[in-house]
Amino acid sequence: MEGASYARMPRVKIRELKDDYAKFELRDTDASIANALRRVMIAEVPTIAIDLVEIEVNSSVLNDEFIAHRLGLIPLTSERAMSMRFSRDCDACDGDGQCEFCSVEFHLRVKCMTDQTLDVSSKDLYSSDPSVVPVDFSDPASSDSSESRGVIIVKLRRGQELRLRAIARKGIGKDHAKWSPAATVTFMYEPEIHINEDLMETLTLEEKREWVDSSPTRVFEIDPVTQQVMVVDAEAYSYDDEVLKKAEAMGKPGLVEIIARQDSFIFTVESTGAIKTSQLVLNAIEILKQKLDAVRLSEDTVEADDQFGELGAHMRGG
Amino acid sequence: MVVKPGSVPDFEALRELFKHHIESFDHMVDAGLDTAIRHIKAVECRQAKISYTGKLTIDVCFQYNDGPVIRETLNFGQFPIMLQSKLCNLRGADPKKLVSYKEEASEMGGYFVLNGLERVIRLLIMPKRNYPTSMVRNSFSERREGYTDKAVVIRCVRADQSSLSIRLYYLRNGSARLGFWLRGREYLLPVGIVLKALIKTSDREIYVKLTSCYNEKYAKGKGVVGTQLVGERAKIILDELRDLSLFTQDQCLEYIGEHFQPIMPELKQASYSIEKLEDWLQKGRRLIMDEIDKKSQKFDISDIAQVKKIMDKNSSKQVSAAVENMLKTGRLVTQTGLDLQQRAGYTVQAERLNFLRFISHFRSVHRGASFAGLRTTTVRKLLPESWGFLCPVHTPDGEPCGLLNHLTRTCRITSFFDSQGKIKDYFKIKKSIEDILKEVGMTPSVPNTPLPGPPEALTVLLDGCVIGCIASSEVEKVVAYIRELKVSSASVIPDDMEVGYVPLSMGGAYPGLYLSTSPSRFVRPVKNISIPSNGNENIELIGPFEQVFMEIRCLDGGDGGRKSSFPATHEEIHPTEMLSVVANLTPWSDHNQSPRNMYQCQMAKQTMAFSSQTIQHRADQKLYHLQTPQTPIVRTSTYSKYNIDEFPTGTNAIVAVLAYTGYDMEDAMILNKSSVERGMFHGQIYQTETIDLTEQSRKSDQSSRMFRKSNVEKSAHPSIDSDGLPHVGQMIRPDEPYCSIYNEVTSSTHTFKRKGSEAVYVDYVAVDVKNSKQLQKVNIRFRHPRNPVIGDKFSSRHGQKGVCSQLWPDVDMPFSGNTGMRPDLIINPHAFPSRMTIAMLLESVAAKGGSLRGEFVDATPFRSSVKKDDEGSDSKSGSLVDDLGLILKEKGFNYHGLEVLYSGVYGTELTCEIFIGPVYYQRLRHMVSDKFQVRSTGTIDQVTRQPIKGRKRGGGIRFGEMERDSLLAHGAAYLLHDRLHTCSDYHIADVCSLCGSMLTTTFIEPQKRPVRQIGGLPPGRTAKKVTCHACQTSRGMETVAMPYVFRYLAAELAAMNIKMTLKLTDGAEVGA
Amino acid sequence: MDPQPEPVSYICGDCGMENTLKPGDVIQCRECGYRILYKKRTRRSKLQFR
Repeated sequence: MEGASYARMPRVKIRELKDDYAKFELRDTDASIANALRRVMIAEVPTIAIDLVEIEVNSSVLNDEFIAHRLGLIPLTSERAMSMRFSRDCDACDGDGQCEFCSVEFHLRVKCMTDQTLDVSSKDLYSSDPSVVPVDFSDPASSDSSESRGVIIVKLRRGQELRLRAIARKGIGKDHAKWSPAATVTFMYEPEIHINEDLMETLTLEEKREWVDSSPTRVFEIDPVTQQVMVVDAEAYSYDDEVLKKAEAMGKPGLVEIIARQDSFIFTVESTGAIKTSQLVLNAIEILKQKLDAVRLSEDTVEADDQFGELGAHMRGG
Repeated sequence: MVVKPGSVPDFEALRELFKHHIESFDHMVDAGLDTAIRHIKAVECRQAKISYTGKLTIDVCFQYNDGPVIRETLNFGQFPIMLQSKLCNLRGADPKKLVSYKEEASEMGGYFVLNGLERVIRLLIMPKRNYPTSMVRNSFSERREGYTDKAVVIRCVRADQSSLSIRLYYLRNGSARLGFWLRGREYLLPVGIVLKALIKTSDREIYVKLTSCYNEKYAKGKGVVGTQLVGERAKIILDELRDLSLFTQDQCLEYIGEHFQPIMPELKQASYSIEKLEDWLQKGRRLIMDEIDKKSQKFDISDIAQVKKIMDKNSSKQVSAAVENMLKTGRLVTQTGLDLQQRAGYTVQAERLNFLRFISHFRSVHRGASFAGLRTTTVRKLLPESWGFLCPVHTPDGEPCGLLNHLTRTCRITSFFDSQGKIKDYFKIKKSIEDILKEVGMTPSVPNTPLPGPPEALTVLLDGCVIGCIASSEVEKVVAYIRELKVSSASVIPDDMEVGYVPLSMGGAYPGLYLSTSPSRFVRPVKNISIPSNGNENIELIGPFEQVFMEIRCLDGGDGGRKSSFPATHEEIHPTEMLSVVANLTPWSDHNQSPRNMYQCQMAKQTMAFSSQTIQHRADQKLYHLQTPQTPIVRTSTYSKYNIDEFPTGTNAIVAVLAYTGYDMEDAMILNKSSVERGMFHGQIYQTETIDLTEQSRKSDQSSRMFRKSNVEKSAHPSIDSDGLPHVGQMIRPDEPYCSIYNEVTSSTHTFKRKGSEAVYVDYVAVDVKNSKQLQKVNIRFRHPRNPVIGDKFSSRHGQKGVCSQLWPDVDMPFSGNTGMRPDLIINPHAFPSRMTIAMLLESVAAKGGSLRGEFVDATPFRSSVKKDDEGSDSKSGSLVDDLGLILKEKGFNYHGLEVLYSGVYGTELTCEIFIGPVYYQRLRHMVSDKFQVRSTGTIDQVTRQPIKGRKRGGGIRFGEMERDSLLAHGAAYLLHDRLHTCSDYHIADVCSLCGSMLTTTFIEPQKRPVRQIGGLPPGRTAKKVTCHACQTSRGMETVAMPYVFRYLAAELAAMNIKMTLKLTDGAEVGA
Repeated sequence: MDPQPEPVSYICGDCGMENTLKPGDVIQCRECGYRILYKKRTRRSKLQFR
């Protein structure tokens, strides 16, 4: 195999794609790439989140840090994030991180004047940039807009007031969880299930049923007509080995063979809403590529710095 | 528990726990005080650091020589008021109203507010009142010649709660002496004198009565208490009297009078003093009575005006002041001793660190400070009497173990109030009990007629008084009948009466029927199964004394090895009733190794939790607050019963049990960095700084100081506002000033600087006047943000504490392939085998199932034993594990709670399945930020020039002998030298090699003038010229490096006329 | 003597009324007479959130 190229051409097959949810297959690659993709999606795809809060008035029941923390965790639409600058290496503003290239300003001014408690929510945040706004979680299908009040920040009673200015900045999930665009990213090895039909036939129907039921997830089923055990949903298998143990206990080892395919993964991605899942995956791949480039060019660190900016330095400095 | 908005949770159960404190205060108020309420709010007191008091007025009646009675109402000063008591304006307020008063919606009261601090009166265990106890103590025989080590002790308590312990010592010659304490001295009387002096009686009557417990008919058998020796002893007692030639009552009284003449006033004094038992509140009354007594001795004129003048002189306010002082300090200042064992420690501060700690203060009961020093462990043991009254789990580990106990959940203390809250009429009760007993066949006791003794008949005592006897064949029926009456609401017999039936036995306790109706006794409810009932009608309140002789079935499914001849008459209501409130909150504590439950009780009380809902209005010195608390998924029935949800103590963390990265070794735990960043275990400490000008200016003249910013350095302190106080909401860094005080006399300013090492935020600034009109006092509350960092302490509810060792990045944490879930927290599997906290594993599985189903899981302990009773009510009657496992399986998870996890770093499957699930975790208040200690250079001790100790002062940690030993063992000589010398008190001393002294060396000031300005060059360092004062020469001067303490030693020795001589050689000669 | 410092606003702990007081003024709410006052938040406090 000398001189053979190990380069593979990974393929992606999308199974399901929604704004905040995606399921796709990643084939012809290995766990390192799959996991790298997962890690980048969680921790290194940039988003925008509130990073600095200047509180003018806060007579609510929650203290300043609490409110600041809650504001930070509100997901903001971050399509702009990839093209935005990190405020720490923005040259437009001298590092104060408050210019239009690296930050978005928000204002919140709420005062409760009625006897009813007033919910201050992310809808009350006014953005200086229409493209960076708190994520709207209301279901577009239902037109009932009164229901969708956004993420609640604090509740105010009569006379209480909250007035603040907030600066949102670009960041990555590695620095703080609030910048993570992914709610969940996970992958599993695609299972390959082979039932030993001959051995299976030695089981009575009762035993088959017992064996099928031993799996906590619905992987196998008994065909009502042929009374044969068949695989209904191989991916429901969670590698818990329950069926294998059961077969062993029944004195029928080798009843089924389950192989985890080392080159095929099923990804599930859920987004916080900051970025659409499709974009999240693409951004992740883009960043992964940049990182690999940075590694490739890292011999010449100074040039790498020029070319990749903070990323190169980031790679070296950690 | 989901509380519908607007609906009011029921805090009755919670209130019940605090009832004994309030009831005893109420009684005190009813019994003797007339207090006018000053309308002040409790919050205000806490804020302003003053006391919650009311004006105490007392009607004093004067009567002189049968003249007319003159009533005069006198002001007795400000008397502390217990919250939620009859006098408190919070009494009867519903939660809504309490909130409007800026109190907790669930405010239970039961404490006092004194100088802004909340103080509780401690419960104490005392000997049972009016019940004779026989004792064997070696110290008795050492008392005087002829005494044995045996005695009978009775603590007599009168209706006014004053008490006196009387001892009856048995002498070697068969006689007995009656002993009682007065003013720290014990007085002993031959018992015969007392017997004769009390009533008009004859020798024969005494003899017959004394020997009534002996009957020749019964030689030796069950329940026989007397032998023929009783007669002989009675004779000896009477012979003693004859020898003193005392024959009649008058003679005896005269005799006593003669001998006690000098201490008569004291006797009178003692009679006034009022004793109190567990409810320490009675103390106030005693003091008042004392005061009244003192005054009454001064009156000899019947002129009211003059009397009043004297009264004024004798400041009546000191009564209230004394009570307040007693409550403030917990110290009892009394001359009589009040028949109490201890002087101090009667009150404690009710800390609101968290709600459980707060509750525990009210439910704790102390064995008495005098026992704490005892070397024996006997007093610390858990006795059968305390079963169901004192919690076996909830007692601290270590020094106070077994001495500081906690009442069980259902344990109550009897008071002067019945269950309807009405005052009991003891006279009526006594009368009706006697009538009922007579009806059922009791022979009433008549003076001068002896009653038959056991085993023929049992003596009946009501609150220590003999009221008759019942034939022993009848007594069991009578007891059952009384119990029936006790339970029935219609009868006059109080439901908390103790029916202490001591049956006939062979050498057991002295048989008899001991009835007690007095207050300050423990009672607890059990089911009386001999009474048919279809509800709660057979719940009987029993006491510790009677329960030992009762047949109470435990709900353990078995019959406790009970013989069929002694069937169970009673039954426990629920097994968890033997546990305290805090111990009851541990889920499935019956599955844990018992010490772990004890540890949990301790840790629950030091949890940083949601301590108060009125945090905005509080001014506690230190208040720990958890920002994002959660309600536990797995909870016991007690949790909802006492509304612990109002003050939750932790977070449901997803816990994975695996050895990952090695940072979870030795009880360390790894927290998920992202989880923490999302708010897990975030919290803050609220710290209030009170600056009181009146207090500080006491030494100098009044009102010369005020809060004012310095005019001189206006821009110097941007953190201080123009009023001399900090801006609200602003951050103050360490060593930054936050408050400045201007002294008008010296026109100087003094600033207060933040100590510590962390930046704080100003939460509020409250200004207060304190008596004068001017601004005299401020409360500045600071907020210390305390988010989890490495080194903070956490614990589950199963005595499994650990320290956070890393905040691990989310992406590096293992994840589940199916759900993508990453754990919040990783603990090491080695935490389980030796500790056997199975309930923690159960909790994890149950919480996982519960969260999948969206339901809370009931984790009340002793499920299996209760279940057998009401079988059929629950469809699934399998084992607990089976129930929990099947839920998981139903939801597509592993039966055992295991999951396949993937390495977050490599993306590969971990070799074993990992046990993962939500466990309720508590954050403990021990945080590194309060504890870390570092030092490179800094302050040194003036005398030894060694680094000082103490974290607060920036000192170091001692490098002690053992540390020195270990470095020696390593041969690390240079390191050792560095630590012990260079970094410590390195000193170069001048030593005179001629005389060997290091103390006689003196500097000679070099002549500076001539050396100066040579060629415009800077002056070269003139060599120090040192001479020896003793040798008058500088020839032999040498410099020697040594620890400075060595020089100090030389100086100290010199002070004692010891000369220390050093012999100096150079290095070459050392080897020789 | 030095120039009078500017007055500072306080909020009554009982009724919530705002009171502006100069040094030397009587510390008491003008509305309800309550004598515990809380200082009003004035200056902007910057809070860097991380």
